[in-house]
Amino acid sequence: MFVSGPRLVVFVLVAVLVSGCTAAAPAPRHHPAGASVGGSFNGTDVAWLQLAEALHTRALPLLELAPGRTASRPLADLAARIGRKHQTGRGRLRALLAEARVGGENPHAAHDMPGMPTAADLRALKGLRDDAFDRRFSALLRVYLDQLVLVARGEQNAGGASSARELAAAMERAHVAELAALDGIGVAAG
Amino acid sequence: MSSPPSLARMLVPLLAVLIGLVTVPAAAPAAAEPVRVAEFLADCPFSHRLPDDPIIFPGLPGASHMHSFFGSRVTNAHTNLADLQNGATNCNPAVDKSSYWVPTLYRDGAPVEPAIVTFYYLGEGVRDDIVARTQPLPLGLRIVAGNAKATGPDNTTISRWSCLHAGQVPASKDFVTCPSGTMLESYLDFPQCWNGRDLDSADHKSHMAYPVAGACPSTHPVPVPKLRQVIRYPVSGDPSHFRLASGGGFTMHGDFFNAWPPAEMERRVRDCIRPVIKCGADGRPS
Repeated sequence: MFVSGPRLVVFVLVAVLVSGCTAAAPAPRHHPAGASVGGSFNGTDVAWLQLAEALHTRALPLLELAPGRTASRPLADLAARIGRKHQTGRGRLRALLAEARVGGENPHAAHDMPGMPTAADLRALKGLRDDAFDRRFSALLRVYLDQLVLVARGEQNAGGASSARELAAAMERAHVAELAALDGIGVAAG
Repeated sequence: MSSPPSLARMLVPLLAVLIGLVTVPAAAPAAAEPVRVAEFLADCPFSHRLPDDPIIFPGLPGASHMHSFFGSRVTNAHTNLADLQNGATNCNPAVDKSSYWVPTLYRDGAPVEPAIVTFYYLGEGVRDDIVARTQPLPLGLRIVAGNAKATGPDNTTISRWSCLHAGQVPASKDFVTCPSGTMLESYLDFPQCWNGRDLDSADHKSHMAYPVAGACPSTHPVPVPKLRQVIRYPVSGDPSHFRLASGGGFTMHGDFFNAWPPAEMERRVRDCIRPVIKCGADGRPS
């Protein structure tokens, strides 16, 4: 290719620029990495602790709607019992998050995740009473408890820290019992 | 397939012009000079759908909202790099074993999968001298772009919605109304500055950064190709029928788990990105 005088100058200039910059580029360091967490906690532990904590947090306003709206004394009692246990469970999840040195805002708390009652669910539920309330409330509670069971099983299979896996096992047992109690109350699906 | 539009391409980079002057014969008219684009791509159609996310919820099947997966055929909640490298892919080129996923789009409650899914790897968005020293995306890198938790379109919304074959509809941070016969399309640019150290981070974002004033910030000094996800859905019309598994259109996000063989990635960065050459799926000039 014919290259005229000024263009040859440009070519050399570009060549110098490009080669100079290439030489100055930092070499990437291929460290195997990932989320850096404390102790024996792995990514599954942290994901489960955060998700379960967020699920618990988001269910509390649902549980608080039962008194005064449900026609079923057993359902009101179950909601109260789950609410108390979930406050305790939330504390244990938070303690393990602190142990894993995971701080800051829970990334899932403000986000509608599977199993969580949404703001629209809660608004609709507030306007219901008696049987209509019981049907909708029971359906939301069942979806929520099913999701807690599902992710607690995932944690037991793939988690790294025994403390987190043991908590997941205990929570799975508790949620399975709560689901059985809900079934026992016998509110028709709604 | 046509290339995506870009601001950078409209502002023809000085370096590209200079290189163009010496690579085009002196007698050629200026108007005949092609616009130079640093690009290679992978076309990876829809593969499967699962409520799993191996980056955000590793090991927890069913924990996530519904995702539509592209590329790797094997991705689930337990997927690691070796699974991708040993698994099948539907990408063109077939050497790209990466996994890409987005929240599933629903129309009136029914999932809609895209008709066209292209992942462009681009040398743009930073100064030309920085493009010229682009480094390969490291094997095993995981990136999440966009904000799944957004509660409305705002200054932080990176994804854009537009219409294929209906350029008169302005791009928006939320769903747009596409004329009948056109397709709803989503654009999302991933961050292109790496901290040079971590393949992932606790929030799955902070090991990567977007450039500032055409350069990578000192905290994330390594320029890598900009991944641009372009997804075309075979739907049009009233957006009130649409939602993403993560919420409104502004919650669009993309996850990328890099399993390109390093030699294939390096060749494309060397032959397409740094010299500003438009390559096809095979990583050769197109």
